[in-house]
Amino acid sequence: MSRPSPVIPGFGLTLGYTLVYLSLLVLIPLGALFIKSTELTWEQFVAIVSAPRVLAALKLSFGAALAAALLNGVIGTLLAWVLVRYRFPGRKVIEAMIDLPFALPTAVAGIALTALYAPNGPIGQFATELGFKIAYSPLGIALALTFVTLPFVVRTLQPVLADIPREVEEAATCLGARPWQIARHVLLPALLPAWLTGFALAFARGVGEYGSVIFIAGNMPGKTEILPLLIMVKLDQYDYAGATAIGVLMLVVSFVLLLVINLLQRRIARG
Amino acid sequence: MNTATLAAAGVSRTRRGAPWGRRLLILAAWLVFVLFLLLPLLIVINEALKQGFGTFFAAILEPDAVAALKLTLIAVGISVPLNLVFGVAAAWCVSKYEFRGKSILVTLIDLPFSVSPVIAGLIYVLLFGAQGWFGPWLMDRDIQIVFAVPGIVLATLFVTVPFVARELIPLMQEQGTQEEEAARLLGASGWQMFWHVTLPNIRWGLIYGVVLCTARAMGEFGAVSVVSGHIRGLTNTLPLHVEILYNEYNHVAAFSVASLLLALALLILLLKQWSEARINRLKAAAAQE
Amino acid sequence: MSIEIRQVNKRFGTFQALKDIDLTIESGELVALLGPSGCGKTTLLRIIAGLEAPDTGRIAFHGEDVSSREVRERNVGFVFQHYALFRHMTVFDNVAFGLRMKPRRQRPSEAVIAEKVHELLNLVQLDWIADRYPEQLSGGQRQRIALARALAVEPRVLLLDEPFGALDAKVRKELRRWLARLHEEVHLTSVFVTHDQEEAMEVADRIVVMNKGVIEQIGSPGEVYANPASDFVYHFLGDANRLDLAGQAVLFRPHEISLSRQAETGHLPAEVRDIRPLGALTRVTLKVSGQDDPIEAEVAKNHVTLAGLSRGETLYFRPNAEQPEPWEERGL
Repeated sequence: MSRPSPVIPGFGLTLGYTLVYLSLLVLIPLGALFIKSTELTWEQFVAIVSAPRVLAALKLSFGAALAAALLNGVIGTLLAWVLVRYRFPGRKVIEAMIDLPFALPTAVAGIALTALYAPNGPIGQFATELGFKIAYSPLGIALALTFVTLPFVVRTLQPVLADIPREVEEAATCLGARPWQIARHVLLPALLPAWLTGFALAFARGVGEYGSVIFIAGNMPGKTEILPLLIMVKLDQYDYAGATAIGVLMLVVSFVLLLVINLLQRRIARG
Repeated sequence: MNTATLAAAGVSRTRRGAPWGRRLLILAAWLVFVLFLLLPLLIVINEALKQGFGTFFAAILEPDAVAALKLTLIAVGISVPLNLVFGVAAAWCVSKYEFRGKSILVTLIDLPFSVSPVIAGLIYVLLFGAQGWFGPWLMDRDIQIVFAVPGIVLATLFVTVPFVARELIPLMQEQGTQEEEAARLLGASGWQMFWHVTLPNIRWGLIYGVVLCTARAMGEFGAVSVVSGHIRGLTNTLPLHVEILYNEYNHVAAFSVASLLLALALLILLLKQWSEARINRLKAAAAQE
Repeated sequence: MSIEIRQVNKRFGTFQALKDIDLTIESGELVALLGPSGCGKTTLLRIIAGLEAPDTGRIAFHGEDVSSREVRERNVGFVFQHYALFRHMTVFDNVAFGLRMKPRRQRPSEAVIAEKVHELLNLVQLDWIADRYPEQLSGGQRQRIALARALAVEPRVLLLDEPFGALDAKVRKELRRWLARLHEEVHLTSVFVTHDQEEAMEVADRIVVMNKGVIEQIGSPGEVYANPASDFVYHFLGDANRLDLAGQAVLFRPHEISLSRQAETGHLPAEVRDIRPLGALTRVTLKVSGQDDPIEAEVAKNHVTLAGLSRGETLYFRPNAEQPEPWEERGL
């Protein structure tokens, strides 16, 4: 019961401060981006965002983020399941280290992954032998994004998984359900909303990620150039209009995708 | 392990010994851990020490690196306390009261998480850059925000806004308002109530939020990269310094500075683990009542 | 210190939590607010404390209107259902809290505070756990510490929200007797909220029965039990049997019955469905032909009709209310 209570002071003060702080730091500056973009005519805007280089970057950014989020959906579920359900040597170490990608500066992650996956790196050399590249290719970008967004799915699934009472699975077993039926009919529906949340968080972060990607990407225009880098390039050329247009495009596409995921989640929650 | 889990792992028939499904899953988890988390960590240390400790320390103690460390500390030192105060205020109004538009406010608090750091930098360039809205006004008064320290602080502030609030809101909602009401009934003033009752109850959540906030503030790259002038010794933070060294093919120095950041990250993980354990105890206690 | 509640109304959105509440609680009385969950009893208690503001109406302590007083100025002792002990403070610090929060000029010295706290801990018989933290205490101990904390500021009235609700059955019984004794000693005007009619009966001087935001009846435990003012009060205060007699319903309590093995005038036949020894009493469940609801009879365990009685036999019974129930006349 958290009914508002007239005896707890500070509502006006804290709400006011929260709103002013958010407005000054986040809302007004973000609004400035959209207002700035209105300086462009619609035709100019379309011309900028439909340039082949921009479209290629758009496809790469969203594609790599999607691939990374999906990969995380699999290995994140695996890690969450193993960490919650099993006790085994080293569990605590893994548990603590899951958050490394959040604690490690992305630039450090970027150069570390590049060193690992470069054609002559400890892992990259195997790929070279097999005739393909990891670093300096979209695959490397997806791997870097997988690394920086690894904790999202694990951390959203863990509490939900821990909250599913064992009795539910036991009851299903007593009712004659096979393991895969339990997974399909009991665990999956319970986990899906949280899984989608983790997926959406990983995806959103992946689309905007910059630091860890630019080292491993190779940054070839039209091939391995991501959208945030393209904004940087435009800024370096003092092309503020171009940077703004791409920024707005990124924000709008991200928000639409997040909205879709959110709606999907609500539909699932409603059953 | 009970029968249900055994069944779920597909080994209900094997009563003793090898639960193969379980072993396979644990092995897979270990593999992911080594491949995705341990190897990147090890390679940083390996590359940093390639030419021995002498080069390693030289890279860390070089004046530009020290200047970068100082700037990073300034950015952290300003943005973390500000976002701490903001986080407490935001969590207070969200968790202690019901009002219209509350869920929108919570969404807005989280907004910086779904905005690309590069865009976070870009918006401040649009506002305060030479061609920005306030650019001419600032230039007349000889105030430089973008490509200088204030811009770096602003960008860092933006990307770390949600951390403290996010940790406090669920904790404070779980704890409810009864202890505060009890304090008021016993004659405590609003300030006494906050200081003697609320703050002690949320301190581990605060520490946890601050730890996460510090991690991000210390390591922020994209947003800071946009608004930094990339001037060595002046507007370079540690992560930017790593980038410059790396792009100059000075890999050993880059990895040396990177390993310094890695050490800080590991320290942060330790602090996080420690405060998290305390929060879980608090939450368990709150749930028990 | 008496409490007067006049014309209090409270809404939460579209839900009318309290409607035209008028109630006077005499000085030194121990009053129970009794009713099912959602009846508004806790809201009324919180309004008396000042934790909730009424939409209309006023509250006075001993004739002095306190409606506009802030909660900390009302000087009420409040014991929360889940105690709301400060979890980061020891028992001692919890009890001392109210004294330490006083403005500097009125604040007693630490020595005086310590003396006072130990006095209170002695009163609740828990002086030996002064250094423990709330999480190390049992439910009953927490409850008594919450009470000591509330008493430390020498409140004018004591308010308790479901004081025994979170305790297990045995501790609950012990504590409510203890509370009744404590009230005898301290003689502080006290109001407690409960949904348990047995608890209200055992502890309170007067019972205020509430339902759906209104007061159904006010009276001593004996009065409300013997002369319930409404159908609701009758049902809420104890088990009730309902017997249909040619379109007329008779309500009576399980012990208000006479049983016989032979047919007698005014007695109805019924089949014995179940026999349950409950200690001093034995409960017999009877099935009357033509009526769906069974009749429950509670008689002394050595009652003559019980000897050798088994299921399936026929017994004869007659509702035997000590006083005519109003329902019989009203023909409910």
